Amino acid sequence: MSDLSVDGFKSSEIIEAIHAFLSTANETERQSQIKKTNGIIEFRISNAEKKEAVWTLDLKKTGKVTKGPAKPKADVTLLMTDDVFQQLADGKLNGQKAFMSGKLKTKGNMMLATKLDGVLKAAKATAKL
Amino acid sequence: MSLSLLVNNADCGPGNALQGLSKRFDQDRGLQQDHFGAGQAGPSRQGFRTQNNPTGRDAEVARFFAGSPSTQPGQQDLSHHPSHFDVSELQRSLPGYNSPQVQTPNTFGPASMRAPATNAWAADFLQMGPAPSSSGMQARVQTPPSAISSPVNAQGPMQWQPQYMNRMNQFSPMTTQSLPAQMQAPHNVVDWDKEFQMHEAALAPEQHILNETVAKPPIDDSELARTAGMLIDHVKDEQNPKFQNSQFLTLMRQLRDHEVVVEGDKMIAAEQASGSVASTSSKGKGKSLPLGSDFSESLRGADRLFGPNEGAAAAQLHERVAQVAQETENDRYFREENEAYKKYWDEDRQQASAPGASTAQTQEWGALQDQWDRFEVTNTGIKPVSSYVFQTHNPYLNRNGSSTTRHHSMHASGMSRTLSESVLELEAAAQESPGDAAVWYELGVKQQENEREQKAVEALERAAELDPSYIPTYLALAISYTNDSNRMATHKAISEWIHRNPRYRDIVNEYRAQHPVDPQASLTSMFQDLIECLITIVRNDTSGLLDADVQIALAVLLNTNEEYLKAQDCFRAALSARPEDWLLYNRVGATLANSGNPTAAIDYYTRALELNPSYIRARFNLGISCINLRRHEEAAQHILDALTLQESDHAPDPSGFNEKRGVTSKALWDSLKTACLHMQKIELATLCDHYDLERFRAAFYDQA
Repeated sequence: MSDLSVDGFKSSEIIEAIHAFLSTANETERQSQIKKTNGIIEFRISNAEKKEAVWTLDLKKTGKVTKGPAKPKADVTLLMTDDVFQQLADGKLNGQKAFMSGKLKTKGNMMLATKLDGVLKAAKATAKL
Repeated sequence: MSLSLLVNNADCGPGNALQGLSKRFDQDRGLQQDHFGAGQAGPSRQGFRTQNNPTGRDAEVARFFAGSPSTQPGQQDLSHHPSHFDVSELQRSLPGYNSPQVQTPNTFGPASMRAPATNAWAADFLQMGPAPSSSGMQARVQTPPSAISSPVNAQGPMQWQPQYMNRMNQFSPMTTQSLPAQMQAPHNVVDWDKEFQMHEAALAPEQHILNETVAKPPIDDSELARTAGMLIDHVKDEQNPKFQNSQFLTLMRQLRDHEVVVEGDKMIAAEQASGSVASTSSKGKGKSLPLGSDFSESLRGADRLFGPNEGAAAAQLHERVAQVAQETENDRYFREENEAYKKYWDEDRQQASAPGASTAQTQEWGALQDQWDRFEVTNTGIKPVSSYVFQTHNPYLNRNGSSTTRHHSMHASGMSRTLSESVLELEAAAQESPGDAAVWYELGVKQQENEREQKAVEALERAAELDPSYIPTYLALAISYTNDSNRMATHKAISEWIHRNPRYRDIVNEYRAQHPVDPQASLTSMFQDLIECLITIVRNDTSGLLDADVQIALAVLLNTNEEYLKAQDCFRAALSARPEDWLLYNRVGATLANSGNPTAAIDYYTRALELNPSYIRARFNLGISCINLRRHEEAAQHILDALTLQESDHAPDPSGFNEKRGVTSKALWDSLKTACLHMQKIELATLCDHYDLERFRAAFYDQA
């Protein structure tokens, strides 16, 4: 896999998917995503072995996903387990529910976290009726 | 600035009635402040007379005033028993009446002391407004103010209060009920004193300036009234009774009828202003406190009731009022500011009225706009042109009418769809009989199957335009809109389908009678309403047979609402009625996939493909589910198959110029690229950008 993935994390796949979406999308699509989100989201994902992986989704300037913490400072940091992130990405859990039930913790601009759903949904191609 | 601009929403830019009104408030504020210390109140006196018109509106006004100082129940009823309010009784019970000492009021003692009594009187007088004898009362009524206020002057507020209380016991019971509300006023006396003194201090040096400008207020006051009147006219079509009876509108009516005037930054009853001019400022404070809060309350009400645009404007107005309330200390600054503002507007008005080249041009534009508007509403006016572009070099065209016979045979045999039909065939049919909605509908459905949403929407919209009563179109359109996540259009299409469906006309009419359409409802509640309507249809369907179309409509709505489990149930129910419909298998699959269950979805896709191997959409969906299950290799294969099928259904263009664009859809290529990226095959992904199937296929099989 690419340099984005971290061994032992299912979330690597999701990050890959977001990366693929952002690199597949043309300029206007990417710009619209950046405009919609307008923030830097840092993911701190912990797995069953208590290890932590950090990714940064910059939807403020570059529109890219990178491994490691945000360089200047993230607008919001999302802390959750590998499984929760997986469920969020699959659409089995929505961000608000996860937050309410304490599965998802945030640091920083909470409103920005609500926009994660939109990014995940856009990253995932939807089946047509 | 012309007043038509204030009420006319047709002009461009952010201007609208309420915004304009808020400007008026700015302007009038300053001018009304000129009343402070000035010895006359022209507009107020005008208003005084209009009060006596025994119209229905006055009854409302009186009710408003009776209700506004306090929220005591039962006060509103008072206005319906005017006979109880006989001023003579009040006069008799006041001992100071007619005594000479009393005839010299208003010149001594702090003005604020008079305020409570005058307030009480004003309220009393207002409640008498609707009395049938009110026109005759005018003369009598003009004496009481001094009479009532004078004992207070002599005795001071503290002594006055208990005495007043005692006297009240002699009043008729109905009157006593109304008065306690006014009795709340004295509690604020100390505050008024302070405020009033502050005002006096602020006003003293400017007295001479004020006297100069005092002559002007009547004009502006009537302008405010006119504006309010136009606002009312503008919203008179509004049917909502809640809105019609809202305090905001009542206030606007009062402004129009000069029953309320703007005093400084408050609004007060006209009678009060005329009652005792010297104490205007203190009274303005006392009386306007409850009114002010009422006004902002009614504004809040207006926020809720207006549409989003006007709501925003109302919010702005609201904000202004709040600001104005804060800025009492800054009155002096604002007076100067308003002076400049008024000058600016006067100049502006002069410019506007000056006949010149700009006016002629404006008239010309206006005339053009009028003509255009008239043209647009006619039947022959501009409509969005159906932009469906047929493929060129269609071999099915001009085949001696064979495609027409194909359709005839199809209708004769009663078959709805055939496997062998291609998009080209249907396009040829549509070109040969461009007025046949059914052909366009079938073309649209076929384009949906072929994963060309845009073309499908174009064809279906054309079908709906040609024959609005051909209802299957709306259902297909709703599905296309759902795929484009266009919720508004989905709602509209399903709504059309329900209301045009002859089979359920009775049920729908019955439902609509119970649940009238609320034009101001949010999109979510509109969806809920339609879902309820469909459920009612299902319940009341006595035929005993399950109508798959109703289930599909319901499922589409639920799907758009992201209630995937329910949507899935509905699609399954529809499937039980039409077990051979591959479209339905795909829809169940898509619903499953979107709710995060791609494994189950794959089974349904597979079944759909068994029934119709050339069903491109199902193949594409299968590919997406494979991507979501991280089976990227498989996904790429499915999407490539879908692309190959899509390409096969197009006419080879001998010129070979850019022919493949528009035949294969971008969504497929994008998904293919995603799959390739997941497979770490960058060179394949770059090939996707060129939409070159030939080269991609070669490279793909080469690598695999």
